[in-house]
Amino acid sequence: MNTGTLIRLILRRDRVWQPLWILSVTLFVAATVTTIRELLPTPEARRDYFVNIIDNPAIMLLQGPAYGDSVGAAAAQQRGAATTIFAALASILLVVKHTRSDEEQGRRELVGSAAVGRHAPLTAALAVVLGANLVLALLITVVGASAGLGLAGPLAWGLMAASAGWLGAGLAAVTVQLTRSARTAGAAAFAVFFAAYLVRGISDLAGPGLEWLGWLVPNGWILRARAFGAERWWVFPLLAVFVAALAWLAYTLSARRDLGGGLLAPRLGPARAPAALRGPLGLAWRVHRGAALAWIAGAAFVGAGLGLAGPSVLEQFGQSGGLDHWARRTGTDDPVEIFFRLVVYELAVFSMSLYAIMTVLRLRGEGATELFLSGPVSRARWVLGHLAFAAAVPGAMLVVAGLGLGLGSGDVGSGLALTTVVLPGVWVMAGVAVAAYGLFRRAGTVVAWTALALAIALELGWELRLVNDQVFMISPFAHVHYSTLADPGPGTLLGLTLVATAFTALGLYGLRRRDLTL
Amino acid sequence: MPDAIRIRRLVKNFGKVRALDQLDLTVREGEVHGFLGPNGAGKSTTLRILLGLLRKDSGEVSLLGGDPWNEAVELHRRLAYVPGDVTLWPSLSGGEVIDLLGRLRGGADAKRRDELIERFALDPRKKARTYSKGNRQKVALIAALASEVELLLLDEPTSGLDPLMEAVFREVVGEERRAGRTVLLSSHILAEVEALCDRVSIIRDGRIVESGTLAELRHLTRISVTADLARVPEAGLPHVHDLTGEGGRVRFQADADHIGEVLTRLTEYGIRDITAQPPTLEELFMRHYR
Repeated sequence: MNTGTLIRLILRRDRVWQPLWILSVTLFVAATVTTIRELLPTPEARRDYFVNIIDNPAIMLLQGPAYGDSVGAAAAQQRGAATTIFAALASILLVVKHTRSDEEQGRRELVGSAAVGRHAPLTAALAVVLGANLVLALLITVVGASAGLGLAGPLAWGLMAASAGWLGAGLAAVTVQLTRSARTAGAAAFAVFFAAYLVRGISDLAGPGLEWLGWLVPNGWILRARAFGAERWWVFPLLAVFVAALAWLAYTLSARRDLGGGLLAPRLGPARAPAALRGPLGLAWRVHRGAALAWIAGAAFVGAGLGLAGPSVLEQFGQSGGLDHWARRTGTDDPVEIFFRLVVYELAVFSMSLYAIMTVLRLRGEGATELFLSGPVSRARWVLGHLAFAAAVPGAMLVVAGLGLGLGSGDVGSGLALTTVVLPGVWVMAGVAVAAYGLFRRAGTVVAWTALALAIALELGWELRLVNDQVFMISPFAHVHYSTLADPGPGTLLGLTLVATAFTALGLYGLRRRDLTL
Repeated sequence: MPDAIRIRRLVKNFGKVRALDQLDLTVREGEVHGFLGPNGAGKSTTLRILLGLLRKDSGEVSLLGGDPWNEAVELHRRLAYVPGDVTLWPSLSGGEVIDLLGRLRGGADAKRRDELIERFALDPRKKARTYSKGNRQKVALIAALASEVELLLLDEPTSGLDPLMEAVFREVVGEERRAGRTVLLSSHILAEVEALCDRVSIIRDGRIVESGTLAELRHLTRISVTADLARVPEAGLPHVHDLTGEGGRVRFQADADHIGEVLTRLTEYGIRDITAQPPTLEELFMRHYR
């Protein structure tokens, strides 16, 4: 009952975010096709490339095999898996936001008291996710077809992304019934999705002997749709049945629980605060520790994986012909080394910046600010408590990733050097986020994310030769770049740290002078 | 006695909306001051300016002798605040929040803390995410009341509490007053203010329209009289307003400071029965909002 009204409410609340993520994924696909045309222009080059990556564990684990030697097949091999992750993540966030978050914050009660069916919010959220992912599939098809990749391949790719979105939404529909915390529900749904994704990866990694393992998880069905190969269209109905089963489970669970409650009973906390919980730093530790530990564990895992996969395997990859001229542009004749550095750099710089900005922007979302700042705590100390984590946790992540990388490859020193060098660049992004928060009241979030988007755009633009070296140097990441463009000596690193400090000071100055938004 | 809070001609705009318009407010040291007004009148904005969370546009604000914007940190050691809409950290337990806020002010009285938790019947082990509005309010209240501060700023602290807890709240505020603490209690529950407050200020559209002790406010206004008289008085008696009635039964309003004269005049009409009531706070309040 009244689901239509709730759907309109969701569309209204998400009128910016929904088109934004759909367009971003679409542009990502378009950019990949362009890059592949540039880097691997001939079928021979692409075949060489695939022969090499078949043995590359990291690539098999994270991306999976190729199903042809066309441009489309190469693009789908490179970024198909990533589009499924993006679509799933966005869909999980959407479902959680419009079900459990609304319940957690009491909005659901307001809706529930109106003439709205018990399951209406879940139905509305699922309907919007269904529609959004259909639009995504359509756009990917159109973009692919208009890039001259035919119709079947792009359609299969679009459906892969969309079905991953639906899978994520189905998982989230279940997890939001289980726990009372929106954050936990979202993290749980994504963890399940990502674990299944890695199971598929291990299966691809191990080769034909373990192929059955990948068929056990729905992510395997999606990635084995063989876009641009001999498409297996039947995986999509199979997936639809699976998602429908998840939805059925969600409705069943939802009917058994109370509004606001979860099926898992909330744990009790301590009656008294531990000694460490005092002041802004102790509070920030409590607020951030869960996420921080998960990120650090992830960094160790990825670092060790990359280290094990190692330069020895990338060597084959680097020798595929198309990389040579690209390697020369980055200022070296050794494509193997430079490719390894590129992978490490990209993973490090963008995921660390993501963490740092998210952590700083928690300042805005923290509802208890009013109560906390009514105590004898200056705004600066409060911000610096959070900033300490935005700055230190990426450091910890880079160190464990570097150690993992070094232990895996056998050279700890260069592993650490490779990862930790980007830290001052990440600090600049954290500083920019503080400045954005301090100077702008509501636009701060948008400004901070725009800064990261700009840095990514400069990076891609530089790779595609649309942006020259001088312009690229605006980005803090250019100064810790993997190529010889950067000279990350002590002077550069100190300079970046000073820039980060200056942005932070600017943010604190702005915050000191403005009204708090409570 | 010095003033704990002294606000003169305070103006605060949010964009084009004027939230506070030349507001004056004085809270004396050691008093419980009721801050009355409906939603949106500017009570929370005033409190947030007093806390240095919002910045004034013009006017003078003095809090415990200091400037709430520039000396926020030092002043906050000497006060505690309960927001009108209490939001806590979802993953912390109630007990942890109470201790954290207490430690910020240099450590709360542990015995007082436990006693208050007992009296307010709060389970301090529950995670804040699972508390109802009333329970979140209790957490903030206990944290504020357990800290040894000079001034309590309470923004509609009982709006989520049940009648039993409201009674506990009144008891505790009574104790605080006897201990010499100053309390600024924003509320729209008139019975609560009438029971607790030494003085009240009524705010309307960002201005104070009435301020003083209840006795003073009553003095300025009229007393409602119902009488059974032998003869119906003619209209136009001095200091008598809104005279209505039929037969010998009359009702009217009399100016409070001339009530004696009015009663003397009334004896001429043969009083058989008479009741005179001072206005309730509700009547005082409604007078400004009708």
